[in-house]
Amino acid sequence: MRRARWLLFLAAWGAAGSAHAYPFMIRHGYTQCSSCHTDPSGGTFLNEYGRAQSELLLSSSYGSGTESSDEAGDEPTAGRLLGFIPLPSWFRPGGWVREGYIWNAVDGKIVDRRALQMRADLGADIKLGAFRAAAELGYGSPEGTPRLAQITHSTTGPNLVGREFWAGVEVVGGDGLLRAGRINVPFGLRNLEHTSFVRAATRTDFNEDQTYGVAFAISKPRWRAEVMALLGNLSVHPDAYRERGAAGYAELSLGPTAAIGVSGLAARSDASLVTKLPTLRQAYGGFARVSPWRPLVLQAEVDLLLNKPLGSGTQDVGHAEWLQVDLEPLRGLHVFGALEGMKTGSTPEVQRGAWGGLWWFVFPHVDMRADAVQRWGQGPPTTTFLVQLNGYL
Amino acid sequence: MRYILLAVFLAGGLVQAAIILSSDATVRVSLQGTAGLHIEGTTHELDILEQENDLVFQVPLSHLDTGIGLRNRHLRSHLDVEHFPRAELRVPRIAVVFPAPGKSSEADAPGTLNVHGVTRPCSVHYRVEQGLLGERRVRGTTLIDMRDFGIDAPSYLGIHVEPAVSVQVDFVVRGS
Repeated sequence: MRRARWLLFLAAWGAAGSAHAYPFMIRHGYTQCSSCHTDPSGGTFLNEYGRAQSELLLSSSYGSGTESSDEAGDEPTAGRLLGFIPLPSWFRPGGWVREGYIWNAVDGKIVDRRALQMRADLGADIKLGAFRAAAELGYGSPEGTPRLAQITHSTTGPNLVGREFWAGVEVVGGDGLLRAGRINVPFGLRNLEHTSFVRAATRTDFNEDQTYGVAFAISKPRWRAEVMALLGNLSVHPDAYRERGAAGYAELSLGPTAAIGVSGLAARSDASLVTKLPTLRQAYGGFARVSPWRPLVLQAEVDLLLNKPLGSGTQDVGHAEWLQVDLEPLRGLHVFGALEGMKTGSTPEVQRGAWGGLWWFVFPHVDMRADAVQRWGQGPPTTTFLVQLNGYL
Repeated sequence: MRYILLAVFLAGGLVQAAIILSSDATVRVSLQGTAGLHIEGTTHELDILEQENDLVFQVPLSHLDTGIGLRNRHLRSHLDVEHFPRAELRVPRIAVVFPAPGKSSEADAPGTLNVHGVTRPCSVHYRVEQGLLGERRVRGTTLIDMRDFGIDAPSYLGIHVEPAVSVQVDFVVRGS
């Protein structure tokens, strides 16, 4: 039971501090992320156009018809801070607050319940000609600090958190971005559920798994891709634990509402966080998004996990899978569910998980979400309930 | 299945005749923009006439739907639909090769396109599949530059749309 509590603590700790990326926007014909996001592979910062789409497509409308009807879609207030303060187009400040409450149960018995301070960040992005930069700085509570993104290193008190900060230049006529800094690792679906097996096993969530490096991303109408040289996460000490290598993905649009992609990651560290041995960690996989009917979006990812302690002559082989359904019966109101599986190389059991919940984008820049996650297959079955309120400028 | 029957005018021989479309016609307009933006506008309104030895394709523009209401309004404003409510493509009938039953033909045909009150020559790539029961399945595509028609390339909140526009028309003809 103590082990289960510890695992739950780690899971809840990891749940702190989520951000925005909505691959389900493919239902509106947006196969590309860079139309709306400053990060060309999707992420926290929205550009002016993205803020407008957030108002027009994401949040509930009250009495103004569907988003495609002629009555819908008044001119959005994008570009104005708090909806009324005009801003220059080259400077976009932002702020994010996400608070939640979590219940964890093992074998049907609640063993942990508490409030979660998940995110409290301020940031801004700048676009001056071809020059681009983005940075965010946040507060991490003593219990909720995302350790892999912390700037200060208190183990008992709050910390400064910096998930993302980079500078770069637009190339290829604005379709490409070459940048350096602390960047989201390009791999797989950039889904919000950062504790999902596919994100946790590949260590590619965008809550705290960003790393320092140099990345090149390109977005074309029919495809997009990003490759990144991973130079190590400087929030991790000592240096031996920092992974260095490369990661990337390429995604092809099969139509306005369907896309498939492949990802790869290979990173070496002098000491694995788990075994303390020099290790080469690899992940390769495929992912897909499709919206056969506008209210419905299916997303899937399958990854092969390879973990090789260097010099041992052995290699652990595992896998992780994710299949997600998002149904939006009314604009702004989402019913979602997911099935997942994972086998890491070091454990013989296959873990399974099932997610379900509701997500309501109440107003522009405000959303509420409730998740129920059941997991089984390794140790006693666990259940997590999480409610959260998110707001951003 | 929707049937569209257009008016038939006969005066001293065949001057203008409607063509019967036996299934939903689709006119799809594709645009690309910065940062990989891809926009598709679709309408199912298509009128086909035979007029003075030309095949005439008329597309009312007021119901061209891009999936977002505000974007539709911007599009209609850009096209000045109030003053120029339809686009019209004319292709000489003699330039189109109609295949034998069970066969298909594919070629380029010259035509003239009128959009936004401006008429320009264009080239249409078409494929016709002739069914055994008399129906013809037709797909035509053409690429235009909106600036040639006096339309400025749209720009909205930092996203710019390229002036090149791909137009694709799919329909099935039962008559003519």
